[in-house]
Amino acid sequence: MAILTYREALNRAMVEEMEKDPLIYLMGEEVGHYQGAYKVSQGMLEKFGEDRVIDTPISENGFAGVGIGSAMTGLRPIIEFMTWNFSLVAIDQIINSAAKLNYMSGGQFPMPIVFRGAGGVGGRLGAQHSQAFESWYAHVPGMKVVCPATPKDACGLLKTSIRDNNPTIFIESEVLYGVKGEVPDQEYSIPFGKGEIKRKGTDLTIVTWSRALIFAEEAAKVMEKEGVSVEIVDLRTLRPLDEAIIYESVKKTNKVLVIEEGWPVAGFGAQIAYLIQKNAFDYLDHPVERVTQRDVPMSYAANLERETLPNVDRVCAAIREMLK
Amino acid sequence: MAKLIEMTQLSPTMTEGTIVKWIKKEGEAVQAGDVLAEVETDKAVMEMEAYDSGVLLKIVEGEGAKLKVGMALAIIGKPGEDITELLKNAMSNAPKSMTETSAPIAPNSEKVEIVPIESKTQAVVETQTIRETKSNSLPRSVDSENKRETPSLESKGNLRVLASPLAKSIAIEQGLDLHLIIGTGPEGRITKKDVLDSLGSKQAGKTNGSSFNSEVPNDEKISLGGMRKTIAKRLKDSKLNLPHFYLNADINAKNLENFRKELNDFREKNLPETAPKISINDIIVKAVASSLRLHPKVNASWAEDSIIQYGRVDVGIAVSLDGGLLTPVIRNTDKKSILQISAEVKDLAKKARDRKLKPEEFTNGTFTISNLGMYGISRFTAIINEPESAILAVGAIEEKPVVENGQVVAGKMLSLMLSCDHRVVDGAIGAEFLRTLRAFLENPALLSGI
Repeated sequence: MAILTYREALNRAMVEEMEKDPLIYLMGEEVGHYQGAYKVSQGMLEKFGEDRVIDTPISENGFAGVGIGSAMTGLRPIIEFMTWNFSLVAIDQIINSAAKLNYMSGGQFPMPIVFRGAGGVGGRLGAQHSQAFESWYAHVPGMKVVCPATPKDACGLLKTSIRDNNPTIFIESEVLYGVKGEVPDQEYSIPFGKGEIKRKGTDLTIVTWSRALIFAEEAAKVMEKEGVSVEIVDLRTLRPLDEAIIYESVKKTNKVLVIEEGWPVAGFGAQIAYLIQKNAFDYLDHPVERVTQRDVPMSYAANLERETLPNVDRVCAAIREMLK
Repeated sequence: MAKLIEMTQLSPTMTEGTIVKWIKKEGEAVQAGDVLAEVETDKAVMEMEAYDSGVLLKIVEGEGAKLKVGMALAIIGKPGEDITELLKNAMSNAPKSMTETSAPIAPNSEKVEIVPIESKTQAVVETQTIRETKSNSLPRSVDSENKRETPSLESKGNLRVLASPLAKSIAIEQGLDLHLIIGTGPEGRITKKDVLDSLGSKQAGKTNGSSFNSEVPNDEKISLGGMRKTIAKRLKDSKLNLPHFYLNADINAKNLENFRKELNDFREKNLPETAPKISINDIIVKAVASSLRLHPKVNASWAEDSIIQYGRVDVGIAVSLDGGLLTPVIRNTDKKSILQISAEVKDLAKKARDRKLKPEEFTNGTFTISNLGMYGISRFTAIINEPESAILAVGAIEEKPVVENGQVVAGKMLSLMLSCDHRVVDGAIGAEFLRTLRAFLENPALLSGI
């Protein structure tokens, strides 16, 4: 199996799909000549030419709309937002056009479009550029929301996103682009709505996705030394959601901690906690707990940024409290 | 001086009660501590005692009236005392009860009414513990609302047990009383570990007992689950109050065994694999139901002032469980085929063992069968499952010498024991029922003709 970085895995998914289907194209700021702001589209301009790897002006609302229009006419666009923070100026296109048109046209306009880019906290980028928006998009019916945490999941899920005929919100993580991991050599894809047990355990379940998985895995290692066996469920996609994998794990450990990079209020973890108490109530031995980003705008200062995130210390403290 | 008697709070969660029966009549002398009336609370029918002595001057609310706790239902005082003022008070105090109260039940419907009330109570008692623990898991907001309505609840001693949902479900499953378990979780919450510890100490005790250790194992105190309590109460009441008598019949089971074999052969060749395998018990259930249809006097209940003969034939089957037993009921048993009965018995027995039976699935039977044949029991006597009037105890089919055409040959015999409530079923009636049942079991082909 090849060892690829997260960004190389994303690149591979796009290249493999674009080689097969001439209707697919990539569009966004700096995706072509600059090879991508985070170098995800490295080499793609050279390979596919300017017709299929298109640099845009700084105009998210505009190129998101162009992408949606082209999807209505039968193309399969991949729209890159340099980061998801900039998707806010295009959110009317995403929510009122992409997520609605198939429904409002009575199925006449399928919307095979992928919006992808970096989400979450990058590292000292300040309050406006350090935000996790998956809960916002997961709120809206009509779209898929994908949050991969490993190179293998990134590649397999991006391929599924490109092939899907619905708008897909594909949220990458700025700090994961350089992370390496095994990726199968042969072609593969990962279906939506299938979580994965990233670590087996018996005492407590962590449910998480995207970058927060890293915090969870580090915390599980610390807790292992203290004799605590933590199971980690990586949801991978929030819409559709693999509920079964959560309940199975709850039945086993009876305790759940949800970790998410976003804010606590109306965050997706609250929905998970609701579903667990609704559908696995009699298996709970402790209230469902959450560790989230603190309920404040992200600080620029490195020490405060660390303290605001759901870091390893905070996760371990929550686990110890739950097992007391 | 005359006093108003109010609806007493008979259980911590009771907010209103229904007067089922007045024990004392107007004009009767009453001592403090005497039972005045039977009152149905949210959980059970309970006895309401008098706190004052005197004479029951006036019954303000009749049987069937539903009253909130604290509402007036009678007046106690000295004979001849003027109670018009009190009576006025009582009436003005109880506007709600007057509107809610159904008029005294008409005498002809009374007979019909008594049975549902009784059987409803049983269902309620059966599920009592479950409900008690469930109420602990009510959302906080509901809880606080309750408290607002009845502030006295808190002062009456807080019965709320803090326990995790999982701890509760294990406790219910194992028949443990959460009140007796010490919680070690946050704020003293009982967690899975606490329940398992309490369970484990019991099981550890058991292991000691079976080892070859020469030490005498300690006595064990096993707290009573809801099911145990219900079994204890209902069977004691039945054995103490019902005049049981017993009729034994030994049945030649040769044809019965052959019939079962033929049925199963037929099933194997002609029916889908999902069709259940027929047991002797399934055929007995069918034969009993057909016999009950022909002997409605056995398919009946004692209702104090009358006997109720049921139009329906609903046969219950005693199913033993870990820590108790339940009697799931096959509805309209006489109208079902042996195959249908077999499938239903298996389904209900499984539900019973999984504790998934709903109250309506194990109450309101009209007759019960208890079979210990699979344990090799030859014959036994069973206690009647009130309000039914008879129960059939079925033993094992055993090889025995049988006289056939004047020759002693090896045969197969099945012993049946019918327990009857003599208030309802006389000896001859029970015997006629058994004679029909014998005819069916010794010639099972007859079943298809009835």
